[in-house]
Amino acid sequence: MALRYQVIGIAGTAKNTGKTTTTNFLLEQLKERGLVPGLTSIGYDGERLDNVTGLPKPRIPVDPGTVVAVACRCLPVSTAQVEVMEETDIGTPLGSVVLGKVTGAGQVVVAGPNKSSGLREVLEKLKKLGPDLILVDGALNRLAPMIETQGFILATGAARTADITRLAYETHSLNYLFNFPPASDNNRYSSVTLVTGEKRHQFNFSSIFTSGQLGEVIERLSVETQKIIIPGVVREELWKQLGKELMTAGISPVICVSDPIKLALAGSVGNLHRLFEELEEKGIRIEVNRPLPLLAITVNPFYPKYRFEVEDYEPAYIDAGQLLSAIRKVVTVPAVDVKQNGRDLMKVLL
Amino acid sequence: MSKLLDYVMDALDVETFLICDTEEEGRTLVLELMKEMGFSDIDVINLDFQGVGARVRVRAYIHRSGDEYGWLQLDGEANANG
Amino acid sequence: MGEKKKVLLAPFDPVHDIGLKMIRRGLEEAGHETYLLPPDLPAEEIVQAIMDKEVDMVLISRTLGYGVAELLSRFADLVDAAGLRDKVTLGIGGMAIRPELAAELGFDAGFGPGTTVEEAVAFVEGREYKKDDAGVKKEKQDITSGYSYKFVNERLGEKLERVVDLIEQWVKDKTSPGVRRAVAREELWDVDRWRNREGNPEFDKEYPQLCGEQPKNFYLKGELHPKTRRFTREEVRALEEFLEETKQRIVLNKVQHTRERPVVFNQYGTGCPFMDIGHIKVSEAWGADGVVHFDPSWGARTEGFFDGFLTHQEDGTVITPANLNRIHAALEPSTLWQVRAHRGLNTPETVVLAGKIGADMTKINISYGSLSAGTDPERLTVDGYYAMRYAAKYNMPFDVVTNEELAGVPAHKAFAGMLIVATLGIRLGGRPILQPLFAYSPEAMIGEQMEDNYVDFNAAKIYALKSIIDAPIWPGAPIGFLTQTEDRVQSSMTTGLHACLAASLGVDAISIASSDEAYSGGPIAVPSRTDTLQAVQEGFRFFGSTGISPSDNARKWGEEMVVQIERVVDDVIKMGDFVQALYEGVLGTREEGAYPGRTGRGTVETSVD
Repeated sequence: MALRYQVIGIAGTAKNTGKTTTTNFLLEQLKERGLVPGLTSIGYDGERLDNVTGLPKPRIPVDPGTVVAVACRCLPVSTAQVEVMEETDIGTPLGSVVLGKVTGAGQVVVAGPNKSSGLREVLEKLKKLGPDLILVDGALNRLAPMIETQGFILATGAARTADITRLAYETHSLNYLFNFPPASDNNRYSSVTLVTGEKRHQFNFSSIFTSGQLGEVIERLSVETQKIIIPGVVREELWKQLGKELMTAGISPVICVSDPIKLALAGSVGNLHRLFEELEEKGIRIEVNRPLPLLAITVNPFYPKYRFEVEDYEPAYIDAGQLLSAIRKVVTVPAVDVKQNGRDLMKVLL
Repeated sequence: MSKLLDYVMDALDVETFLICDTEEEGRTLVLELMKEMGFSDIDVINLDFQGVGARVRVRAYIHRSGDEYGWLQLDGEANANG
Repeated sequence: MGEKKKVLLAPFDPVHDIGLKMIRRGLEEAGHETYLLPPDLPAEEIVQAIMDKEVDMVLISRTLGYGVAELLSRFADLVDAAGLRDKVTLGIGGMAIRPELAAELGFDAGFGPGTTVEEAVAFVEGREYKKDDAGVKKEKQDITSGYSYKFVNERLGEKLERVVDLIEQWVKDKTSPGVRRAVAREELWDVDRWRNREGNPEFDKEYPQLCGEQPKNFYLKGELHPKTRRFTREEVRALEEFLEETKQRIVLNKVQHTRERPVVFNQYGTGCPFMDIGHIKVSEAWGADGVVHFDPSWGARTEGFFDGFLTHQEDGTVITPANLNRIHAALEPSTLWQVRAHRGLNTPETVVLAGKIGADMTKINISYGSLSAGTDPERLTVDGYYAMRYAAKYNMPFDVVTNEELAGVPAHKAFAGMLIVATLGIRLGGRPILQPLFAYSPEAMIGEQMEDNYVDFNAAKIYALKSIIDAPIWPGAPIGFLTQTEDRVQSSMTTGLHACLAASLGVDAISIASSDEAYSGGPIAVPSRTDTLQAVQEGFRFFGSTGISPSDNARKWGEEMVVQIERVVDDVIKMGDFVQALYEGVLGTREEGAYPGRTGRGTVETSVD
């Protein structure tokens, strides 16, 4: 059975949104179909208790044959038996990453590379061990290293916010941000660049974090500007200023960002969504150099309820049915609650 | 009883000050208090009555020596979230 | 030193972090360039500063709280998305930060509370991040090193040697079932074969015949002692997992502050080796340097050991090869491990077994064991003699306790017994450690030496012993005996103060109680161990290398004590027989609470070779 992807990520919008539950579900599905999973993480997962809230967390059960890439200090605390195939010099706070094959079923604690370049290297090595699908388990709300995958499943839910309306809007916005079309031509620049006809003006920064940097860009803009290429991140307020400037000056270039993660990281995804919609109405198109498809969304009604009076957390839930239908209304990809109707999730992979 | 008590290595002590008239009353009150909280293997460790009331420490043994310890059997209990 | 680094220090908290400032000073002293940002900047501005300053490393400090993990991980993501992640190393420090959390947040290292400046500098300089760096580097100490074991009071020394001559003469042609089991354990039982489950057939055949009824039934019929049970396979597996995880995370504390000594011991013996291991790991983490194994009281009255991994439902953890082996494997490499042998029918075999399994120390006292612990003086003299020979062979120093003081035996008589046994130990090539009590003893209650303070009389004991012999001293066991109440603050306080007195008097080790010491209604709970370890640590912090000044009474009483000790030794010599002296009350009378024991009476055999 061939799958559509070799490497997918499971990212979350916050802690406790169901990343591990989704990962575990996919592992189970792969097993049912006789497929060999590969597993790594950009964070740390599989501990008994949450590192922050102190509430119990699911651990990751693995079966013989599964290949893993984990920090070496994960192995002694995992109950699964893992035969180490290769040691790498990719460092983590829990020792360097090793690649191995599960030889005895059990639970595994997964901490993996903590940055994009590390994940890239690990994935290359992991692919050589021949898994049918590699799952990259996320951490917290982290996204950046997911750029090394072919697409990702987003876990969201009450742990992000227990307000269903707000959660639905945010999910809608994320769905929007990860749906910009790929760039029509090659725009691989290492710094912010303005394209005017044949002319290229390159600035000496790749991200726009200060109003000084934005000022330099604005100064160079004209109605002839055809394209603004931004390889790094633009701070939310500066996106707004740039948008305002373009709209008032009647300039409608194509804005080319390197990937959707850079947009999602800029600030409030809802605000950016509104801004980009407004820009698109004015004929300003957004393109991405390297698309990262959002494959599906999983929702989780659980949230750790913070009790201010005792400064700890207790488990709490919102209405699962309401949550799922609210999300389904606003997204263009399958949305599932893996505990209710997870099977739909496999359809996007097959 | 809460599964969370599995995490207690051996005993759970409760320390407080009870308003009471006599040492004996303090002792009765604190034992009742522990029973009300659902503990059975309980003992007053220390009770100091000085007229105002009683400074007291009472203990509930959760895991005695030779028992099966919850903190060694914590696998598979967790499935709340991810 | 290696190359200079540029380090950005960013307090993510709303207020400035003093720890970060200390780290900054350390880094500058080590020659690195640092930039300290104002507190509470948005993540983007910190990222901008990384670019502007072209730093190699960022150290963030932040107290963890609601939603903070997400803020920190967004920062790590921004650094990555801005294309800087391969150029900078990210470190995070603060309350509740652990390496696991640092991994989850996308950082390269995490530093929790108690992180030292040196550790942060090591991280910046790219020296490998190791668990050991997070705690105190501890090494096993030999508390007997540096002692000559020469008598300062030569006259008394000569007299003690004469008593030892008497003992050697008396023991020469004697043996006992205890000694014969020790010989079997020594000669026929190979610990490696046992560990590899290869069996020791000769031992298995001979040993049961040397045992009393219960151990014999165990070996021949498989009957366990009624108060014990075996662990299940599942329990053992769970223990192994618990230990693996704990050993990964454990951070060792040191309580001595600026002093090297005293080494601090905790006693354990909950009855269950699992619970013991739990207690031991807690003791280690809170700063105990050593632990002492306590076996149940029936262990002293039983001829022979059981085997197997056994739990016991009452105080005292059964000595079996498997129990000792598991406990030994659970210890941190720096932890001193003492298995007490001192008082019962298994004294010499305990030494052999503990020695083979890897104990660092043991405990032997003929005088206390036969006057206060119920073993027949004749039997324990033979057994104690051989126990000391084995202790010397296995290179295990042993303390000589004087707990008969608790029954009412005056300190000078208990000390006379201790010094005789210690002198015998030295003669046999061993390294004894003197163990006077730091206690509110019946003698002091009646004699009113402690009416004003607990300092002078305890100090007098140390002065007396130091004026007699150049040997290590380890007050115990535990210090503050009979001063503790069931109130845990009082109990911790008195333990802490006695510890400070001991430190001030320059002793080598102490044994401390838990704050449950005076509570007799149930087992000791583990938080009571952290109570007293913290109290001792705080006391040591308070006094540092300064001390407590005893009054003139301490010297005076110390000198009187030496005179009285010598008188007792004279009486033993006069009697011409150490064993007889024990029976007849020379080292403590029945009126003083010393009762020659009856266990093992009539079991000493005279060899016919």
